Amino acid sequence: MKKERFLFLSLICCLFLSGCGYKDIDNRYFVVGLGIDIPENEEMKYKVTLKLAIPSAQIKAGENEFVLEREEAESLAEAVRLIKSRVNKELDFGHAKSILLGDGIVKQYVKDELEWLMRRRDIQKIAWIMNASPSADEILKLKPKSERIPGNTLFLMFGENGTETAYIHPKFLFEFYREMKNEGVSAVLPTVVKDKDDELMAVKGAVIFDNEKESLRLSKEEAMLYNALCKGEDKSAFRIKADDYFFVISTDTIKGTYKINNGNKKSPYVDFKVNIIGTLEESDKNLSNEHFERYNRLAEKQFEDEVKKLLEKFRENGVDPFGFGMKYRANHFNNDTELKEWEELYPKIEFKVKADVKIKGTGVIE
Amino acid sequence: MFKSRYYYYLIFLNMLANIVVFVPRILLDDRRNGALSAMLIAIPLGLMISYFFTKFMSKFPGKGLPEVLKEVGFPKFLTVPLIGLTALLWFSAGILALLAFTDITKRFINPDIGVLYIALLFLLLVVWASKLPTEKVLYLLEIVLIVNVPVIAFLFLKAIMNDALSWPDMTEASTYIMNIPSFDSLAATTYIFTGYINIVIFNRVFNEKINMRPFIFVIFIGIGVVLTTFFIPIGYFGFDGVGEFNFPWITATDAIRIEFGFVERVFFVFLLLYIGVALINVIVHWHVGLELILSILPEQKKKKKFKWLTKDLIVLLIIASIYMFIQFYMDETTVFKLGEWWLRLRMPNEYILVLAIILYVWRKRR
Repeated sequence: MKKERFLFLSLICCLFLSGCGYKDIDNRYFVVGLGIDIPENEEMKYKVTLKLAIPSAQIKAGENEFVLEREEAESLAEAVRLIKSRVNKELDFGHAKSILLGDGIVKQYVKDELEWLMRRRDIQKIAWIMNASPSADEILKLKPKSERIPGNTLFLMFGENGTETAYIHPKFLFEFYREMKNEGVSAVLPTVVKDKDDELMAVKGAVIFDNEKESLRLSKEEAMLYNALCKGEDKSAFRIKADDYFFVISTDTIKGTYKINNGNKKSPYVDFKVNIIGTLEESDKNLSNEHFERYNRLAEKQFEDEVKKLLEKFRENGVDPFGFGMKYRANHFNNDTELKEWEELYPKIEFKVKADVKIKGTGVIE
Repeated sequence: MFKSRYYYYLIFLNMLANIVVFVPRILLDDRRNGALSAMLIAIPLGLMISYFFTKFMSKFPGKGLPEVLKEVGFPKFLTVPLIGLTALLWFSAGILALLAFTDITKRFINPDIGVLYIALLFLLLVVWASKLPTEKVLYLLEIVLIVNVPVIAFLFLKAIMNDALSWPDMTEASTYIMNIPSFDSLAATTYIFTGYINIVIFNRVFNEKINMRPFIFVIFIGIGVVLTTFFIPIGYFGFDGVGEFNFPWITATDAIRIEFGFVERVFFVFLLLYIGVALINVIVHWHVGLELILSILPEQKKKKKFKWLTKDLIVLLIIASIYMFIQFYMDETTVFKLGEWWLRLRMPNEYILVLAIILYVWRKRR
């Protein structure tokens, strides 16, 4: 009797559970791209562009229907609420896997924007964040022909399910947050640009942040080298120039490792080692199998120069995308002073680059 | 006839549930002020106390703490406050876990549903289940753990194996090892090892001596849990950025991505699994609290009216209404402060109780 009464009571309680919190999937608009730009109206602070997917019954190439909603407001939250007031369905950020920051935004401090993105529970911390050049709006507007699901191009490019190349350096929102907050490492964002052909987008170069705003832009070659060294992005190709010919190494593995040596306070240096194993892919001269050693030396020489140039460029601009500073902090126990020490040390640090290239073969033909 | 595996379930339950009850946040807030050194002290301390108390209790097979105290002739005027205090500590453990998890549910699982409904739903289950006979609570615990733990363990592994985990940040955190240990962190870490206290009631169903040989696994798993609790959020959000999260560990699971695992955003899978763990944790704690209180309350007189309103239900309803009161009249910050204070008070209280009982019995035997 007691149990039945309890059951009955709990059933009664269920009656109070009015309208369920869930909205049906056809009453939702899925945001697949979130863009933040500088507004045209100077009184406002942000221009938010949302790419809203329109679901289609069949998935076919070219059926990537979407709506772009733009709104300018004093704050990001307001802009999103204003967009909400204009659409007929509930906005769902659960699929907002690409976040684009326009050129104008990265030139300012991106602190508040980042905090908003991290604070929102529905924005994935594993969303890809990138810099969109010239503006997020321009990139979100694009409608590549091969796209089958709206917004999918960026997901495939960054998700490494589709194309894989060292030119693309995917960055998750939480990684960007970590790099922005940490002293001793500079945040890096990949740059997405509109290609000449109006339908396509391309990842070219990268932006390096210092003190929460843009400080240095990398060209696509520099970005590629950085990605290859930093992430061990192995699907890259390097062109090695010799006196009157060239050859291209396609890398199987590439690894950059470094050690900071400040035993000698007067001339501290970073020992940077690059290990590359690869195959020959292309050349304008018949290369003989017997001379691999010579090609190795040639490639090593060129890598050493290029890497050193890149590292010195970073040092000159006062940025530290490899996180040497973090490494320095991690290896020192004087936690109160180590950061200051490093900041004094970094401008005068030397780089000793040592490359080790091993060409394993010549591909399918000799 | 009860196998000793149930004892180990109780210990592991607390280890899993620490993520919910503010332990990671307290540790991470202290990351520059001696969290790590406190953790190193807490690990042997927590393990030793649990080992000795379990040994002590298994000398009285089939008897809970109230019966043991009666048997050894512990002074009556001390028994009542001693048991009352333990019960109070354990009820508040449940209340805090429930408060935190209501908050998590509201924030991450379904923000559209009212807190009242979440609270009622949880209370209905918890109140009903903590009134179950002691064996049945253990069966329930076993089922929940067997269903959830393999997947949770997989996700833990996935979190550690992630490429995006930043090792320099974690090494930097470990360079703070020489700091003076912080009391808050010590108290928070010992919570991870406090599952043994449940034996004060559950010993009633352990008719045989508990097999202490598997305790060696408790040592290893305990150390692993303490380290992951502290280091995983640092690895994901960076040493400098990690201090800004309300639920660092739960947010950290949002940084794990399983590309082809049905749900890419593992976060939600993790939360759904944790509902089970958090609620069974509350059920176990309230069950222990209830049984302790019942042992010091006078016998109930036979009533004619309101027969269903037994005294265990009255106790639970009082506790539930305290929970409801805090839920509706206090904000998140206050709840966190309460949690912090509870952890601070818990450790000394618990250890004094345990030592007092062991010492009393030991002296009496001499």
